Amino acid sequence: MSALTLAVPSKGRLKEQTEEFFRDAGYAIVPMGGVRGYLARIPALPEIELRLLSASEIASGVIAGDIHCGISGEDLLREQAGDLERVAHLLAPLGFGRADLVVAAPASWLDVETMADVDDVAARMEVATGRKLRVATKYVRSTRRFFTEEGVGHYRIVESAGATEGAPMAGVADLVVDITTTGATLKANGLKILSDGVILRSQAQLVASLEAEWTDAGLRALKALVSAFEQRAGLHTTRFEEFVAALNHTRA
Amino acid sequence: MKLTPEASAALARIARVSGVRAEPQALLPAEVILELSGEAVRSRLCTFTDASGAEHCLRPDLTTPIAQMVASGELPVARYHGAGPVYRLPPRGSDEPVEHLQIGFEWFGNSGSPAEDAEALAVALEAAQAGGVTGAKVRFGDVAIYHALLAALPLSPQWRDRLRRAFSRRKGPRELLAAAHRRTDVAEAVVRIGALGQDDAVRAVETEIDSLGVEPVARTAGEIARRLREKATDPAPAESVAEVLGDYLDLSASAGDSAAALATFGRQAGIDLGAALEGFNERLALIAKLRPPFWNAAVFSAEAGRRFEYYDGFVFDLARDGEPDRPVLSGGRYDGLIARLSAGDVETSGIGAAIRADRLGRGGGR
Repeated sequence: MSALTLAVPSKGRLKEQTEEFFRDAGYAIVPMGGVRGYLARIPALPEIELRLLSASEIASGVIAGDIHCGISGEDLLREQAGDLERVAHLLAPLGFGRADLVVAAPASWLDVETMADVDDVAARMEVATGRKLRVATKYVRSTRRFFTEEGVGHYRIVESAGATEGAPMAGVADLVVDITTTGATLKANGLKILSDGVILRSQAQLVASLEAEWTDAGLRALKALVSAFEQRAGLHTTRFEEFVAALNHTRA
Repeated sequence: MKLTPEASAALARIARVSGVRAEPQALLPAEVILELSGEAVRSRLCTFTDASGAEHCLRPDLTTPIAQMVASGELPVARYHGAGPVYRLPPRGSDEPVEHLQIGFEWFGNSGSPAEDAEALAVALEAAQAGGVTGAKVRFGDVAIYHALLAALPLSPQWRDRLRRAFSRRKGPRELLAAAHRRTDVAEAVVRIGALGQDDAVRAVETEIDSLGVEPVARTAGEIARRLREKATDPAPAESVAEVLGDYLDLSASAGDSAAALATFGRQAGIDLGAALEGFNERLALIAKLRPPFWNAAVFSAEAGRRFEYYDGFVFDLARDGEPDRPVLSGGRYDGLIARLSAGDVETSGIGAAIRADRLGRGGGR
């Protein structure tokens, strides 16, 4: 492993916004090209090994400690790690890639505004029909955690592969847990967000792994990167020192 | 898994009064466990998916598969004992093994008398003693008293149901009541449609859904109208009710003082716990006659049994001093379980207890 491996999104809007963010901080991301299309470099920071991965792979790589740090969505990080704070440290919210992870119910359910209503309806549904309320989502862990915290039982998760928001209309689920930016897609599918149904207000994060092997050179390189972000991109974070403290704690 | 001498001794004590040995399958449809205990337990279940997409899981205890066999008619209503490996994923940071050996009994169909409660407790405790356990404490409770308290308090039917469900949840009755008192806003549709008669309310719901430009999903306008009307007349419980419930859940007393503590509580709250309290007292007297081991230092706790959804009466566990969260045995009454598993086809009382064989002996597996 290099002193510092940094993974950045390899496709879509998140890739463009990440490149823009680095450009604002004064760094150009240059792909290596050819067969090694998954590698890139920042000429001004030669000690950093850059990898191009999907946001989901970045989240799992940081959690497993295969890469030192990366840029990925907080929603993906929290979904993939049972207890994110134990394995990784969010160094800085980057101000882009915003999306809310929300619980949405059919708009026709006029009596359902809150998670407490969901529990009431779910309990009643089980008594009346013998089946549990179905919740379609790709965010299985986050859903389970939130429903437990909110005191909702009597439900079953239906894991959805894609187009989660269509599940209630298709008759395969009653509620959905999904990410949304404006709520327009949910609305177009006849759904409404519950008043206390925001699980997470997510955005892209610079995240560092507590599970990876860190060297002093790696930490110095990360500190330089964070300082550059602070000075040039107007990012405010004091979390680098907290990360080092957490890392020392993990090693002890 | 081979039984240790301690486990064999514990099983022998149980088997003497617990009918034939049930041999449930190790593998169950995940559906069975999830329908019973909900998604919250899923993170502890060993599940996997077959080629057709159906989900299976390894049994997390012996109670559920044995109860399932009785509910489906595969086993007649009778007394059973069991021994075998069960599987639970440890929480993160825990060094508990995934697979451990469980020994236990499930008794069905004895109409659920206090005498049966006392006998079940005594058998379980004697089995733990036969298995070499020392320096451990009994904690016990009675979920039926909680239910009796809810029945006696001035609560709407909806709130009674909610508080009943909350007992076994992490967001418990106290948290639920606190949240209810923080919340004051009521949606305009609830106020407007909730004030109408059922027929008018149904029409208003249909008009409203129409104007939203959506199709009704999963629930009818009639159901939605009925619930809107209920919500309109479903005030949060009074502060005084929340206080009484909080006082009850705080109750803790030695076994010898527990009957008096409950009587005092009832008098001060102005509540008659009726038959539930009589059953509690009768059970205590019967236990005292049986003189089971560990009982001298037993402690009553109103919150005992909160971790299990299906208990609905007497509950107990035995844990070494200083390790209250690692019980050697736990058990209780689950009279509603079989009816629930069989969708009402089979009705029978049930009581059981499970011993963790790896926590028997002096060391408790550590």
